[in-house]
Amino acid sequence: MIEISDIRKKFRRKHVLNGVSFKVEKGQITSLIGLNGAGKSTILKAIMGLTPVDGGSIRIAGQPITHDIYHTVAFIPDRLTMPGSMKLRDGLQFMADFYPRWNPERAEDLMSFFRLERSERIGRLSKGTAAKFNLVLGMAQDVDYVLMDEPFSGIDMFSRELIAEVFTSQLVEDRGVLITTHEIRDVEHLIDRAVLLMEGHVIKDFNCEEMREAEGKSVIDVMREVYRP
Amino acid sequence: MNNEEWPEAVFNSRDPVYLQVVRHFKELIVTGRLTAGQTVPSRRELATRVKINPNTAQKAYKEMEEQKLILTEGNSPSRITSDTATLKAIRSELLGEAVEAFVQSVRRLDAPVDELVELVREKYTGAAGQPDGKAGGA
Amino acid sequence: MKTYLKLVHMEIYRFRFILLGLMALTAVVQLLGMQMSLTKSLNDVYRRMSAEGISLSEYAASYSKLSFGSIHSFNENLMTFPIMTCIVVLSLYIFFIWYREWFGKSSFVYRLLMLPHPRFTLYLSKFTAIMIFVFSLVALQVVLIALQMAMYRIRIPIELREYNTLIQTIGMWKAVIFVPVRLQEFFLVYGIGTVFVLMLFTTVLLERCYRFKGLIAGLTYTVGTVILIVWIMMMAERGGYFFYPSEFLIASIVFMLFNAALSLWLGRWLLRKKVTV
Repeated sequence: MIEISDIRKKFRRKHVLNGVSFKVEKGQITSLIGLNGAGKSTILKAIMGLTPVDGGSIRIAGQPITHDIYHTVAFIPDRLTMPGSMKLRDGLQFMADFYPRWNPERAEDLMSFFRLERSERIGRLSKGTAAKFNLVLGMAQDVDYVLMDEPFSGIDMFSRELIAEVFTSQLVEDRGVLITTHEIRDVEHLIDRAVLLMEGHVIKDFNCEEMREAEGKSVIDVMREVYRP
Repeated sequence: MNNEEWPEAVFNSRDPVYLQVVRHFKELIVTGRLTAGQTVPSRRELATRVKINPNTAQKAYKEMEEQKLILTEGNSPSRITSDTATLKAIRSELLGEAVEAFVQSVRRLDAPVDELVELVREKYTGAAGQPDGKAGGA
Repeated sequence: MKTYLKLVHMEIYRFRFILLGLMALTAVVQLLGMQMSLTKSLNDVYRRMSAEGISLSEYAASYSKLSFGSIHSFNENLMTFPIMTCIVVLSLYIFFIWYREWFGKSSFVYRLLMLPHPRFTLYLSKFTAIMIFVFSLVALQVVLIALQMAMYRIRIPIELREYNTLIQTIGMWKAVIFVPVRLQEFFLVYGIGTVFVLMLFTTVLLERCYRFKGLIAGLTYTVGTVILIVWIMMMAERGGYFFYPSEFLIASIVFMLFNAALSLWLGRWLLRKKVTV
């Protein structure tokens, strides 16, 4: 379990995160929802130790953040963070070189699932293709948790469908997945849990199926209630 | 039914997805596309086929087991029940629901029953000849 | 260790074109410069010989010989230009080796900071890479001087030659500070250089963590340290104070070691706790 408790962060005197707490459980897909600038990406970066927080604590399976968490958690940022001069082949080799939990067979499967060409240069990929390769880099690690920042943003419909299929596969099984997205329609049927952020707080945190069962409300219905004045 | 030709399932976003999967199965059974005793896909396969997450597939199977729709013995794959009473019950449940919905929408028009029945017969037999025009539920 | 070596390899690989470019520039300019100086010096000798109608041995008896040093320094600026270029490029790369990870389209820093290994390895690998660049250029310089000596032996007639060892030759050159021949000098020059690189690395990280404030703090610290070291050295040069020059030397060495340790510790802490993408 990833436990985020009461984390706070200021950017130029503005409180971006003002005591955010929630949990990401293994075997569940959790979606972090919020309007632009709600601090979704900041939370993911904080979990990954890519930006310090001003207060609160983050624990992964009970452990504080050190470089050891990268054996357990993979992060798929909103951009492909590999040098553009590399070929896809080099990118895969880089991962195999530095990540003991890299799973080459799975990488192979994903490469063919997304029909990616190894000889292509990373810098020349289209946005959709780059997003797919980004997913390969994150998903082919044998980790317990995967965090994804806006995996659908700015990508054509067919790439989106293909990426959404990843969430229906064994790639997410038994893992804890945390995604941020503002295109909730792509994943509405796929997520188990929704955490709604507003003004630096968690304003609603619910299990989607329970919400549908108990109140007959879709995730979007709840979002309307929360975000519409 | 061959797994490759699994019909597309379209889910709405207000009913629990796992219950919609159960209903989807019931429709497949009633329409004879899943037959008594037939093995059903693993929950992984199902998740990929109908595009839901594996947890939801798991929950749907659990619900179907509770409703005795499918049977799982030991480690062998789950099968559709062969119990005729259960199968009949499914059929009447779906038919009942459909008729209920129909009646509710027609009642507002306050039409006499005889006229309705005649109209239904006419439409139903007329439509039977043409192929399945409209895709499943919305 | 394996990760460290792989990272060092990657850094070298990424800099390979620039490094090879610098090496090619240095080699071409210095060897061509030597060739031109040799030709010019010989032409002067032959002109004088024909003007005075004397033979080579008569010339050698009445005029001074053509020493390697005098020929080499004939085109001093040309010889020093590539060295200065290398110094400028490497100095800039001390910053760029970090900033290239943040800026540019790829934001490679995300990936590097998420490697399942201590982040300090990254710091050490970048530092090692810079040092490797420096020393490969220094080594090239020594090789080039040896080649220039060979050219001298081939072209200058034996009557006009002066014999010097490689070490002596290097010692005679004004740019000697870049290739110190005495062990003590070597350690002093490269010791100061090393500490300077470490301090600049930490300055970059301070800037990355605290932006403008960090930059000011880092630069103040670096410049202050350099001024202090230079001051101590000057005191040692001048002598006549309460302390012996050797004591000043020891003081500066201790001070440098302290700064190196501080930079390393601070850099490690910043990378672990404060760095942001």
